[in-house]
Amino acid sequence: MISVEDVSVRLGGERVVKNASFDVPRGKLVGLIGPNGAGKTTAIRAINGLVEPESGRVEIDGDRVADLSARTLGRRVATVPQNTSLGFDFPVRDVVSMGRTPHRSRFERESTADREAVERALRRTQLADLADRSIDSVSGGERQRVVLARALCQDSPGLLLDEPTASLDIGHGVAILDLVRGLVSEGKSKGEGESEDEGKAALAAIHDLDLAARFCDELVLLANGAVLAAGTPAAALTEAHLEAAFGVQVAVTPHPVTGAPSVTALSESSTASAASGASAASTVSTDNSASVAASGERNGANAENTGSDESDDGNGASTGNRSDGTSAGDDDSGTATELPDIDGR
Amino acid sequence: MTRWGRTVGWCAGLSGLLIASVLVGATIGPIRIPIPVVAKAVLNGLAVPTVGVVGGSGETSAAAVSVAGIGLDVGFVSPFAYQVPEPSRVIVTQLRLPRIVLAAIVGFSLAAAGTVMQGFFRNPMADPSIIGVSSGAAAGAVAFIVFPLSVPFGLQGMAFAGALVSAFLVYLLATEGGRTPVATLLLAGIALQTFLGAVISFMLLQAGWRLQEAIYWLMGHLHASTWDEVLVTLPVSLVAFCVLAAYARDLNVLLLGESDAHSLGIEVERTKRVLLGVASVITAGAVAVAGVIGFVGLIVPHVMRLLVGPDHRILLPTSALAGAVFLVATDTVARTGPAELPVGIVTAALGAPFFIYLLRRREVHAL
Repeated sequence: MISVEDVSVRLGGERVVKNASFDVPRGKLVGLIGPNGAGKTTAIRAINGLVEPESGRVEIDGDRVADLSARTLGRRVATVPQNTSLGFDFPVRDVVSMGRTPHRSRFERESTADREAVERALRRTQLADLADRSIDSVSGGERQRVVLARALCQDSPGLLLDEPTASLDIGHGVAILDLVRGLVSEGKSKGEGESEDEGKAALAAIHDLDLAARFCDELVLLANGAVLAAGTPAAALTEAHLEAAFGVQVAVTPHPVTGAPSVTALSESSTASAASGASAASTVSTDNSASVAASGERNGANAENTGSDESDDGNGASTGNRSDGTSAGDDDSGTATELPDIDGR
Repeated sequence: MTRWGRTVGWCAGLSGLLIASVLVGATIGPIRIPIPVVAKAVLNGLAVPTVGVVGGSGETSAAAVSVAGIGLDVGFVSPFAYQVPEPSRVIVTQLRLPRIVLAAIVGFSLAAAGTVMQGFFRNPMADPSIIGVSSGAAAGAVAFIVFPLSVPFGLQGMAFAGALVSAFLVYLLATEGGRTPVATLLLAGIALQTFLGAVISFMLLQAGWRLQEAIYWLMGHLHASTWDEVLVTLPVSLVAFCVLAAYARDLNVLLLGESDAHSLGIEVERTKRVLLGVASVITAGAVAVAGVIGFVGLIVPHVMRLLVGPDHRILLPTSALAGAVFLVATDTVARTGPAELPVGIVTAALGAPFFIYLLRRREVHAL
């Protein structure tokens, strides 16, 4: 559905995305992770046509983004931006119905299909009760849902989300990602009868690594504009990758409840030693007391082979059971797409 | 459908108010003419079929000429033949109505352009002159008054051309690589306005005995308006308004910001070009015949936004109609004082305090 191929983007003279390649197929939620300034937002803007790549191809359904009209693009991909400010005081329903813009010509009146799409999006995001409230009077979490509802009624197969959970508390953050998760795996599960397509292709820039690991089918780790690792959460979220990307020592442990990889930042990156391994163990144990034994073991194992790629396999094995609640049927954990230029950043 | 109903309701109400203010305005003057006489004079002047000519113009001869010009021989039938005293008829149809109708058109145009500019710039302080249109018109007009120039369409032609040239110049200055950032546009507009202000001041210094005429024009006036001016301005205004109205929904979406608008399928740069161009034309048409009349395009949209909400599909037509009512009313005040005032003084003198009142109510901060 969405294909990014060897794309570089230059903004203000600086290359903020460097030779990035990844795909977002339908029925998959792909998380875009990486430190601040890694190029996550720019990558998303290259896909929805807001910035033009310096080189490489961004394709949506086989067509280059640059060749598509804004309207066609709006029918294929919907974007949930990081922050939306609406200067004027519109009712929630009107803001949501702006998502129908790419489906209507200038002189077309609102059709029944338009109205149904708006009501469906409002129900889906649990905004039906707020539909007549003014956009200025709803909370931050509700506002984010309004923007998501706007994107939903675009009825596009592709969905781009730029930090959809950034300003939300944990409850609202999880609710939003649950909703996106549902949209992506819709066709696979039961399909609700309203559409028989295969679920959306979603790409979400997510800051919170634990949320990303829990909800995404695949992760793309960006650092300094380049793709450092890509693959299942277990494969992408290794201590070696994360230390390289974030410049901080981390411990990756299976989350005691979800089983997804859970990342704890420890301290400034230094050459790994038994001492730091020990301190890591103690930090982690205070964080998740439920898994003291497990994390102690994991860190011990890590101290032996830090930096080597074998830790991938260790991770994959220890977190192989993560798929129980979050994403059914990916049995390919451990297949990380390692790019050759890890150290070229 | 409630929105559609509200739009029709508001527009019908404001149209009624406009007709009432036109009729009442026509009764007021050095000689008071009672409303029934005014109404009869107007009805007598109505000619059917009207081939896109001014409704209620009352001047069949000019209309017949313009129609004959394109080879159509349409007979005008006046369905009404009331007894109206000849002096009253002349005062109403030849002196007062052209001016009042022109005031309505100018107010309509400026308020429509102001609404578009405020939405376009997402800035509550935007008004139709923000991209240099008024300054350009003023420079053109003053140049015509001060220097013995001979150009087609005279003063109005120079003002209209000056307005469009400066708007286009601002657009060119602000555009780079096919993109026109709104903030740059705003600053380029201010820069050009400042520069043209210097040019106008310099020309005024050279004006000599023509200074008074130039100053009078600059203050905005509707004195000595003719049906010819109405016939030229009305089509420009109506066509431009229809284009703007067709973009009302795009204006709403543009309020989300250009990035969001793009991802919602709006060709942002092209839409901006159309809106800028058409808003400049409608403003230029108004400013060319009436001079620089401030505050109509700034205040009327704000007031209507408080009344009907920010949705341009209802805001744009209601603002335009309210602008027409407002300028007819203020021009009536302007011409009935002990000495006739330029209407620009009246709109500013009445508009500014009202604007301050709105500011104090904090409504305008929220835009």
